[in-house]
Amino acid sequence: MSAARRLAAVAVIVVTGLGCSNPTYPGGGDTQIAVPPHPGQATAQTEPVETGPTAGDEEVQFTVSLNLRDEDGMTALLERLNDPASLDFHQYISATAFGERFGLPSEDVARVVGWLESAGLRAAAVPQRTSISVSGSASSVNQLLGITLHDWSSPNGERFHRPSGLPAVPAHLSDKVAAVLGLDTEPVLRPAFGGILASGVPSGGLRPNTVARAYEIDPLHAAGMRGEGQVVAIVSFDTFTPSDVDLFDAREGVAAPRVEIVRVPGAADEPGSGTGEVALDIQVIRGIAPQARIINYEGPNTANGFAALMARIVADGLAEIVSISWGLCEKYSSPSALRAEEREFDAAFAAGLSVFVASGDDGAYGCRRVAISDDPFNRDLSQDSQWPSTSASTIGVGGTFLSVREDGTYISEAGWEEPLGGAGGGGGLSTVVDRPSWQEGVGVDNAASNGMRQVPDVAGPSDPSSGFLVVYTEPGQGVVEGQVGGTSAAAPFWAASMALTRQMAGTEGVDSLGALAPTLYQIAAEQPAGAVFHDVIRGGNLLFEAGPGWDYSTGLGSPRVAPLARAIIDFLKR
Amino acid sequence: MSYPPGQRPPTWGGQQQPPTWNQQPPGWGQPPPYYSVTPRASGASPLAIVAAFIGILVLIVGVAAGVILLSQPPAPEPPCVPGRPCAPGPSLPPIASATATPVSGRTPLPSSALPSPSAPPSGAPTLPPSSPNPSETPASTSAPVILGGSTWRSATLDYGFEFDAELFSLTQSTDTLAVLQLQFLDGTVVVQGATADVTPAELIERQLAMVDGFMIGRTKDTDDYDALLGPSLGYISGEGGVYSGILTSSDGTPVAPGGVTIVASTNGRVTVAVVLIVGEPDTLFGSDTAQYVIRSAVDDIVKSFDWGGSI
Repeated sequence: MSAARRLAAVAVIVVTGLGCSNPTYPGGGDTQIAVPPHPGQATAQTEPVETGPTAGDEEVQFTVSLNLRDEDGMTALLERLNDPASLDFHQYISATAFGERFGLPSEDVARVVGWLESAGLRAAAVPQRTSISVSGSASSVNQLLGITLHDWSSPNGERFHRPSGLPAVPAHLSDKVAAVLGLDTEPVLRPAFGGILASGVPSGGLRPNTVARAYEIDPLHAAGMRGEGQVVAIVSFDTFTPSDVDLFDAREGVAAPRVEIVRVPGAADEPGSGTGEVALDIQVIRGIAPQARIINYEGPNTANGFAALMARIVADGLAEIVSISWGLCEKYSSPSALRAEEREFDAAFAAGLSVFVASGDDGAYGCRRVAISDDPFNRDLSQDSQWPSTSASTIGVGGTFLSVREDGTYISEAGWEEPLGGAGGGGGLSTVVDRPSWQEGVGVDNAASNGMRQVPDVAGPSDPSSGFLVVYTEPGQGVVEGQVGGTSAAAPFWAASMALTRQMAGTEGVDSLGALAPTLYQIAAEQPAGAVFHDVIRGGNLLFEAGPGWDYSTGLGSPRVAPLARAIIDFLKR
Repeated sequence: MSYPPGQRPPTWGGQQQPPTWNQQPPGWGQPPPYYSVTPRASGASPLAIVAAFIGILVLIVGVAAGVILLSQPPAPEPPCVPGRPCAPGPSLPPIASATATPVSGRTPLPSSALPSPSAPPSGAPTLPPSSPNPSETPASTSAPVILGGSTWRSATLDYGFEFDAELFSLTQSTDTLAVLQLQFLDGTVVVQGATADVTPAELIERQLAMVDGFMIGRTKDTDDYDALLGPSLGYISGEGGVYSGILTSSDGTPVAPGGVTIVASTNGRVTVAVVLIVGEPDTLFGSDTAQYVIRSAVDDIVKSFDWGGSI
């Protein structure tokens, strides 16, 4: 890609604005639902405009998040799953078992479903009993919940709807319903995706061979590990152009299974502004683990879109490794909604899923792109971390700048930060999620620690200057090929690397890697510095500096994949 | 602001033009190459925004660079002319040589320090032995390598940086000063070094005093959007600021809005400031401003900065 082209890419990367929606959530105990206050109200550069009531016959979707019957029991199980002294150590449970042990009684779930269906809506509970996926006509939804859905138009022409009024739940069900999510369909989730300029890697950007060489994936490939038998799920709030995958395959000489798609109601029909993100995720995984079965789970881009997709992934039980490259700063989502989503991630953890989540591209200032007044240049520069990398049941993946030699061999990495442009790998402290017991080790307890979740856990190549070469069809522009970065690249990079590790483990009688976050910390504590992680010791994320051991810029570091695979397998064999 | 092909920009400050001004800046009077480099793109291109922007603005760059140079104290050597030798000034070796240089760092772990693999079951694939732990580069001794770029290095103060020669042209170079002009947009980058007896704050003040020679009404830019969140240079934390004002012509006539971003750091041996001057900084490139886009481009210089020597 020429310099001019690369520079232009800076200008044309479309970032979904974080004009914050004002979703409504049910409270408890009464038919009238309280709206949890937002800590702040974000305003897009140009405000969306209401265009009128949503047509009564328009199909709409939302998610009813359910309370758990035994939340304490679930929390205790999550602890025991990580405790080598426990009989439950690494004894992951299925979605159905999760529902039976911790979810509402089936008759209670049926009551909620019945209430929804009584209005002519279609409602389907997931086996883990964490949520119910609902769809039906706008008029039915309005009538049932006592709201009025209105259509809105965003500054860039995207159409979405928002409710006026507070969704009401019958009193007899209020202790069963935790939240109603997804009525506000403003696309606020942002891909951690960007592309620019010069390169720390061979001309054009990172390609599979270079990545494999730099991060010692080559030994796994040489041993015949190319992802056969592995399933990697991608969480996407957009879709992709299948022919883009064909172009990638042709360029890289890949002959592999086609990428599968699972759509939840409300998913985009056509590629939109986030299609580059989807292409990046697919191609990074395909380049590292070309024979892995990739399932792109697609859902609507809403403030709490993770709930529906994660519920479906856990319910399907197909993938043990998940990659998420979307997020939003914690501050602009309601704590109650985050808790509802956290249950879905907890169910994934309990099922032994490793969910790799990009930590965001705004350094320690996760809300940096949010305008907080009518002045679009008045941004929120508070320290904040990006959900769902801060979930205690995911693996937050931060960013590095990678330097390699012409032959792809590794030279060094630095924590990704751009002092002038203001970008960098996300990292910091959660304001919502407590620090899990498994997050410990050298560097974890530090001057900034306050008992809350610290991210990221690990890191991977993210600086667009050492980005991946990606080809995709940009709506309205045609096929483009360019160097793309962001922690969006690091999350699928880790997911694919762990897919190969899982395949290798299978050849040695280890059928599951389980939820890897605790394992990674335990291995880091046991191994000599640098043996399985590149301990990134310079750079930072605009606030926190990288340093020996864990840090807020790069976590435990980036992987030396083959040695790390060996260590993981040995650890799991004990 | 645009100039017809072949016509030079106006002279600012009544000062003599530096030699480089006798040459057209790269791309001067020519359509920017955006139009021809969109691989396989079809249909209406968003790059039209860029093209339109370029058509409107066209290079105040040289003007700003020149003014800065004219404001400098007498240089120990005459300014370099691009394309001509500039001994004994900084050299511009091909970056490929830099990439081949092994980095120093932590002693590689002996292979015995690596986890000892368990014997896999019979017939199971085996991993080739791992290489020793790749060395990490200690801070301040070697910056990340950017392949495919050019390098600039101060012969006496032994600091340097890399830049993409397709994006930037080196218009001035002395032993402690490099001026680069962004090829396609209205931005000038000045990299000024000094010995460490000059603090970053002092060096910033000196540079801002020079800026005041061609900018009136300079004030701190208080837009959060433009804030410097973590000023650093070559991964050493430093100081910095963002300013806005009006760029002036040689007779003091206001010409265009200007933005200035400056960062400075020291490693205890040398102190270096990077100054970015942007014309029409708030012109929008999609949802971002020109200043933001250019600052992102200059980040590659900042990130690749090599402090050289030892602290």
